[in-house]
Amino acid sequence: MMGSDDSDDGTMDGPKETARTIIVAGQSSRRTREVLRALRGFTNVIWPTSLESTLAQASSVDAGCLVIADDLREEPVDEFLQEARELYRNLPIFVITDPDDVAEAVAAMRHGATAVIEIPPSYAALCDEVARATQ
Amino acid sequence: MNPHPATVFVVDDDEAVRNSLKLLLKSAGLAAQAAVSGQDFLATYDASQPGCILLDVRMPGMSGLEMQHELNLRGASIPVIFITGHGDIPMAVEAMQHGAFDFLQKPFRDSDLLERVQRALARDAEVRVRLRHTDRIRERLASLSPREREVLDLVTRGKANKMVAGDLGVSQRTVEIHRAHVMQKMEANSLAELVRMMMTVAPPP
Repeated sequence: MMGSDDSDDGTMDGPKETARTIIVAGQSSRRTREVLRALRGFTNVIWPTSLESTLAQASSVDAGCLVIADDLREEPVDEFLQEARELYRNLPIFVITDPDDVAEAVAAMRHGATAVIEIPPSYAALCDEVARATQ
Repeated sequence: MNPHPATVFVVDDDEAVRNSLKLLLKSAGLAAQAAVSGQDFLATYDASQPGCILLDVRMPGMSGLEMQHELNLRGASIPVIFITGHGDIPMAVEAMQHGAFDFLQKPFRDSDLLERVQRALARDAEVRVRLRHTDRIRERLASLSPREREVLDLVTRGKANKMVAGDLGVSQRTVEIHRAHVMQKMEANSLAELVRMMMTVAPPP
């Protein structure tokens, strides 16, 4: 199981992490957090509270994947995705979005998301996407 | 130059949709052709024809996603804009992951569709220019002798003539002659241009 090393304060000090980390931009819902914490293959989950701090944190840990939670809708997610994609070409990036918001999902994909997952996220769907992206 | 004008291919099983889209495209000055199914389109598809595809997702027989898969298998670069009245996120994500240019839900404004079509046509034109450029470089590469190709590979890896001569077991003068032939056949004016050409046909991982 994972999540034992969760760092909820959005700060990471000390030497570069060696464990595979899932970075979750935003606080997200309780359900989303439970699903993400349960993901196999990752030993650490960190939760930066803004897109700005997310990129900085991604460079200081061994990021296995990045998840943009649904509570960051007010932030410029498309611009962030482009920037993240330029910096981390092969990093799987998942966007969690409102159900049936196809236009937002398409925009996220166009700007570099690996996949878009509807809320409430399904553990199985997220596992499948992460496994496919990290193969 | 391509002798064919860019064409917007409308693939939809609904006759009324096909006709209204063709009318809209023609009113915007665009050439349009319609197909009633994926099979119908693929049977006559000519990859040298520039344009883009407006593709219905749900069709009897071959679905839009299956047609996109077939186009990908054929190595087609033509931009595909999906149109659907019953889209959902997994479907849109799958289409985009497989290279769709866009995914549009009905109802949409005519201006939105036309704007996306124009962008798709512009993308297609760019890709075709790039592919023609790459083809020309490949043709020039094919005209090199095996020894010239060896010299090219070594000099574009940054080796000086003296080192190339050592690697190939020939005189430096021989390398200079091969190198001059390479520059001439590749139509390159500088080593930097030669390196750019090689990166175009075989980009680094």
